[in-house]
Amino acid sequence: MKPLALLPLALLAACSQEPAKPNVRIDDVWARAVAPGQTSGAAYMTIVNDGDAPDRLTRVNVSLAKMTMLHGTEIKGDVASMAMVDGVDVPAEGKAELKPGGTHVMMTGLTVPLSPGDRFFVDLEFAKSGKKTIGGKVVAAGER
Amino acid sequence: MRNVRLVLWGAVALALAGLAWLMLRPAPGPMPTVQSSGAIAIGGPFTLTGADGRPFASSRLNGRPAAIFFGFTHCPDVCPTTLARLTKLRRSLGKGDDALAIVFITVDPERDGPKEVGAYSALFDTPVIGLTGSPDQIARVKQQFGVYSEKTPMPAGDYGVAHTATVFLMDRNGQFQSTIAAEENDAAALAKLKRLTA
Repeated sequence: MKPLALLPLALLAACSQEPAKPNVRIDDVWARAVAPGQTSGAAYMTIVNDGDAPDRLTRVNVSLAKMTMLHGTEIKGDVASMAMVDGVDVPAEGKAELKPGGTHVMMTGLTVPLSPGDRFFVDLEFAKSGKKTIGGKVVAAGER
Repeated sequence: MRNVRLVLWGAVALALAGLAWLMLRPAPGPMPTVQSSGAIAIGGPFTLTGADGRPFASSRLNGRPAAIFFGFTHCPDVCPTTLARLTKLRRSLGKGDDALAIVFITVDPERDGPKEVGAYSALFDTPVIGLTGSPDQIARVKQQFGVYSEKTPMPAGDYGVAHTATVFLMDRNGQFQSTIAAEENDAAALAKLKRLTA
């Protein structure tokens, strides 16, 4: 066999040895409008991972709020409660949804009211993909 | 040998004394009464405070069905999600806003006065009746509906409230008809509302 014929095989081997990486993008970032004087709100989003390695959302921050936390709503029996969560796993070639009634971005001490049409930014930090900032939109309370 | 006998007789005496106590002790209080009608007693007349600061008697809801939800205004996820869902379902019914009263009762009267429940209810751009009351009044109405709530600490001295997230469906006469659970899908919930408003 000629050495040249081995080249594609060698390339293939080199490719497969490349470490798996997550490829994370964030879609559909939104928050529900809050009432005047109401200082806590929630934001939601879909985190899509096209990469071949999982990642994990570890931190969130919304500058409009004094404190931002990752929260999970849990319904046990018929009782709903919220608890802080350490992070949100984003599977390889999969997605994680932060949605109403589930894991969400909890904002407390909102410094401005959130009105329909307002824009805001969320800073996110992933274990592997690092920091990302993404824009979101405030929707009317009854819309979604 | 004699010692062993003494010990055994002692044990017998103790056992007899225990038996006597069991038989002679005062009878326990009356057994909880069971509703003979078969219906679960949920609801009942109440008077709370409306968003205008005036008393709101449950009789004001008579004549039209009501969906009653207990929550609190600092609740950013479950409460507005549930109220948004109810307003959307009412729209899907296509019978107008008067066909179904949507009622929001706070379980956090310490923070939610008439102004707060009013602003919260007004968020949905469709009539939602926000109610509060004194802690005693709220405790009473919670008991009437079998609603549980408990404050849960959050960072910075803040608190959340774990609470029953079920929606109570009351008929035109204020009688309990059924519930919508948080996990229930929209189709099932809409079917219940159709029955309620038929």
